[in-house]
Amino acid sequence: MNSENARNGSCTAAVNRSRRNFMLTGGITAAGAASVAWLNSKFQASSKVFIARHQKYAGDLVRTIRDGLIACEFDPTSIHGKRVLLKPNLVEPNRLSPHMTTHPALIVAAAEVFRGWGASVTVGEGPGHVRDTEQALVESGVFEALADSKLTFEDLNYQEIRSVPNRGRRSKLREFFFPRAVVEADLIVSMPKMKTHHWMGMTGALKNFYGVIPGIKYGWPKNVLHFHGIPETVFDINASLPPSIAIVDGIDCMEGDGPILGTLKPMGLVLVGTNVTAVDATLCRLMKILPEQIPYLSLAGDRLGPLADNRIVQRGEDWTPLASPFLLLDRKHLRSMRQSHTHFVT
Amino acid sequence: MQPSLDSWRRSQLDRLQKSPLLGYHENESLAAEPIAIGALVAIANDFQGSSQIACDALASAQLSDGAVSVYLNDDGPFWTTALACIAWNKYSTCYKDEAANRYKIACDRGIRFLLACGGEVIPRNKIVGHNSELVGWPWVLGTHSWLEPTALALMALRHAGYQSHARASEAAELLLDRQLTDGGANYGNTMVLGQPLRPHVLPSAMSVVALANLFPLSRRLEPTIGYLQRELNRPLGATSLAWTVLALVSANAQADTSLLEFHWPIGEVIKRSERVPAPSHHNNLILLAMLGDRSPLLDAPVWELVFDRPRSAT
Repeated sequence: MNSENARNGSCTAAVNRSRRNFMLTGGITAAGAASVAWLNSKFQASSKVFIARHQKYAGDLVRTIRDGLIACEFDPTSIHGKRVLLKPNLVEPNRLSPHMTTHPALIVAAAEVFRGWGASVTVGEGPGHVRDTEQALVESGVFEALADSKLTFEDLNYQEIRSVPNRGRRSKLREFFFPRAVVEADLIVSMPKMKTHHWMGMTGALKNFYGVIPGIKYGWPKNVLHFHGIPETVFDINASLPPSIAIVDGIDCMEGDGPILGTLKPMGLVLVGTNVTAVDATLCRLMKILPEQIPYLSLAGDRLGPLADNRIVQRGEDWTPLASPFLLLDRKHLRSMRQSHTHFVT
Repeated sequence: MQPSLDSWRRSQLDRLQKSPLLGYHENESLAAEPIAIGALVAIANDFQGSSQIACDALASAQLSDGAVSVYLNDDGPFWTTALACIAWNKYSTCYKDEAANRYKIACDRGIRFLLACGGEVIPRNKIVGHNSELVGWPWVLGTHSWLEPTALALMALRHAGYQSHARASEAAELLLDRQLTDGGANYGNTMVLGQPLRPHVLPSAMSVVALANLFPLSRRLEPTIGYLQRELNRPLGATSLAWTVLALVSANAQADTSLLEFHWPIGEVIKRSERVPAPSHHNNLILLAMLGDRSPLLDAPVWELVFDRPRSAT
């Protein structure tokens, strides 16, 4: 446990104990100018976002994803022989709300695309609300889909962990403990569900990376992150990960009291992008939410990627005719997230 | 027991007897929870040598303040201290050798650690539905209390004879407070922003096991037991199933606790593990469930719980 995580006075002896060096520990040297330079280099990545409409889970999602990546000028040869980790959103068992989690058809389709380009593909997730990851896999149909496709699954909640420096430094956390599959990945693909979020307004590709944080070290829910600030830790995690891109399940979406209890909103969209922040900004516009009002996006804007519409290169469908307001809870902290006071629910 | 289940059980027990030290996944770092669960199965099957190896590993990993970390060679989180205490306590109860004396001391130190720490209290507010001022236990020191670490700590206290301690009563109150009105519990939130949340199987089952032999059975648990009975008919993960079996056995919810009713769901989990190999830890949990009312987790003393203060209104 990081001593900065501990606030329990009655246990100061426990939490001030010096760490035993059992796990591989990346040197915590990235700070100041080095961090800024690193973030800037990450931001220089392409900010193209591809949107496909009229998408169905039974449709040709392999073609959609492949076309989207090519349209975003993703170089297939760059991942030949490399390790690609697909990170869907399986936050908790979803039998009562299938629209809560990433559909297995999209996961399998993405795997087929990257396998076709010669990558070694695994799927990994560390559900935030349940310790029994198998339960989340079984209820979502992901267990069967992965077994049928002979895809391996990495339980990010329980996998061996390694320390990496916090390159974002927006929270007080000096380091993160990432699962081995995350540290060793050459490319991580955030595969979120397009949803509203009752605290943050929306949740997309950036927030989905909360699921790479191991519950074994941070708890269920990952309360250490909450205590250090959700926007700050979303930013920091994204700044500290290996290269990442996004493929979004925007087919059956969630509005209202997301990310768990919201209602189904069919959109029929798949989004692909090589800059995760730009993808989330586009998701916001499709939901008629102001990206700069989302707390973690306001941190990420111009640091991890662009938010402004004129700085995101649009590929595939234009977002403007596809935009449809997602209902938001009528709560004070969410009211500024939309230009007009419409489409709020209690 | 059906022949196929019986042969699976025998082969898994053989594996456990030979390899009582394990991590969450094969070939990964030794972890306290899998070792403690394996120790309980070994003790119940009278594998004294294997259970001693497991308990020794936990004792060697115990830190100066009594804590046992999730990974044996790490320095936290420490919620696994509770499981280590239960394993040591059960060994000491079953065997009266030199090791048992050492484990008794280790258990006492572990309990002292648990009693010295707790979850961060948050002033009651309208955002969440539960009583956020109950202390309980957190996953990670410095954060709020949650259901499962509180259930585990309560089990450790009860098995070690501390059920009259104020922290035990408060833990029971916390577990009952966090049950959902329609039955079941989740990680530890009942309501957020006015909306009731959904139950999850594992924390629901752990609540019931932690409150086993509670007299009289709190009405707040009855809907949870009903919820678990319904969930038993649906596909469950190995961990959820194991704790559900133990919960229903402990609540005498099954007319006959011979485990007959549990054969189908256990068989389904085993079939799934034949398709995608399950970690040994999951198999040990199923072995623990197969013990039924002989499970060492279920012999906590009868507890007539009287709350010192008015119950919270949630």
